[in-house]
Amino acid sequence: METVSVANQPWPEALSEKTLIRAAQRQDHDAFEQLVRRYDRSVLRVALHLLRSEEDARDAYQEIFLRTYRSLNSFRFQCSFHTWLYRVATNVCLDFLRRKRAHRDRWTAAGTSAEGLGPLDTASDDRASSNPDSLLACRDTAGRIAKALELLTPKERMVFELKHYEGLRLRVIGDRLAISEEAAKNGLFRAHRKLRAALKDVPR
Amino acid sequence: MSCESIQSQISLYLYDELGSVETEALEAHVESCGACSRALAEEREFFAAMSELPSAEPSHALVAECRHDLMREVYRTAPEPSTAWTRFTRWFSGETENQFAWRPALVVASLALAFVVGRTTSSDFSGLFTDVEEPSLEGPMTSFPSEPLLSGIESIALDPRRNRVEIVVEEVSRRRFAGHPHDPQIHDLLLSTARNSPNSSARLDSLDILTGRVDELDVRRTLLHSMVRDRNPGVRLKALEALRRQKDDPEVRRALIDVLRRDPNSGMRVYAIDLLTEQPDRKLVGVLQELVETEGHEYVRLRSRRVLQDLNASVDRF
Ligand SMILES: [Zn+2]
Repeated sequence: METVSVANQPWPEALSEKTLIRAAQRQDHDAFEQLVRRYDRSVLRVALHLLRSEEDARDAYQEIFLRTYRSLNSFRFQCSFHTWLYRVATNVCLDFLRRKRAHRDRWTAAGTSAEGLGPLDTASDDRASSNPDSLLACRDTAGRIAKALELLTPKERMVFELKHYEGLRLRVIGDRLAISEEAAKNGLFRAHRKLRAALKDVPR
Repeated sequence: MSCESIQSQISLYLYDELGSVETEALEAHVESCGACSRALAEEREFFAAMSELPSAEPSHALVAECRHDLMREVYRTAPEPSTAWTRFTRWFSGETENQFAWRPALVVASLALAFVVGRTTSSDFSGLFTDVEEPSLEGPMTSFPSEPLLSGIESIALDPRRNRVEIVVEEVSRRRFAGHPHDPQIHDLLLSTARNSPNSSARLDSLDILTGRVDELDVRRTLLHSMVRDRNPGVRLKALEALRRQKDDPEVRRALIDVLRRDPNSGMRVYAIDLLTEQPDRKLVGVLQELVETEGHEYVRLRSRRVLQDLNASVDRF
């Protein structure tokens, strides 16, 4: 008795998303993989850009899609699947940013050199990355920007990322972060102010 | 509008988040105000600077590897995909929660069948059925008093007009065996259950107990059989994981190549190619060239191509 598997008959590209979700909810792994394939590249791109580490992005990818997979049965088609998926993705990335920040603060508070920074950067300030020296220490512009971005709180960072690099509307960003559009706008303003201040004196 | 309020809107303007009225007002003001025009230019410069952070477009290989890790985890945590057919077979072998009035009979029947098969393919257990009260872990195999039970299902006929089902069953007795897993008879029963039980949970459980003894020839043969032939991907995966440490054995490698070329489950093929290419040898070249052309799974295809390149072999078949 052979098991007939849909793996042998790839889902037609045009197959409705609803059909795929329903199948995935019935534990059809091939249907789930098709859903993953529709969105995972863009999810991974954001994670990679946001976390600036391939290893973290990989871990975030796993957590995002496993969480999606495990809670798939609670998806009730009240919003579009991608809205739902990106909400999960945003939450997971936010957690990663918070953990990263907590980790960094612990290390810098302990007087240990934070990752990638020389002893000068951590010398006196307990928030190493707020020291403009750490920005100057980075030779290339990209490195300086990356360091400046670390000054933002995880939420500001997220708003800025989704606005500046992903080009989303503030309304959508608010929805993903479960905050009002106004709050998203304020987060964006704060992010801008901090970034401009941090990058102002840096020779370009 | 004041310069201050105009300048507070510049970033929103560049992000295209202003309404049409505000946009027009801002553009008109900036044209006639030097300070605000400079502020706009600076903001533009800031936007350009921020965009110098390189975009992080993930490589094909990274995406493929992430998908592979994910699907491996998905298959590992929930081994059996559900299609109409597997749902039916699962229901038939009693693995579903659906409560049909006569389903419990089928469940025990399929469990019992495993032992019936075990009995006919290995030694005769009749001499062992002595009454022993307490099963002991170290002692010899014990059996428990038997009870009548349905065994084989001869036929199932449905009369749709009267909505009646007629099932012809064979009745035998159920027996429980207990003993140390190393006891020869228990061992035989486990092997035979792994190969022949119609119940995939029973096959999985048997393999679970057997995996520690992969060095024994009959265990390894059974694992190879399950890895290549079992119809349930979860069982095949379990066997593959048990054989992982023996991946350099020629017989295991041949079976892994079989999996790689024929298994319908992409998770299995991904696992097989990973094991086979940890230490790639030239014998794989032909198979990998075939996969580059025919394999439907992106990761397997990319991995084949990469290993061929590492082996300095042509990616195309001759
Ligand atoms: Zn002005």
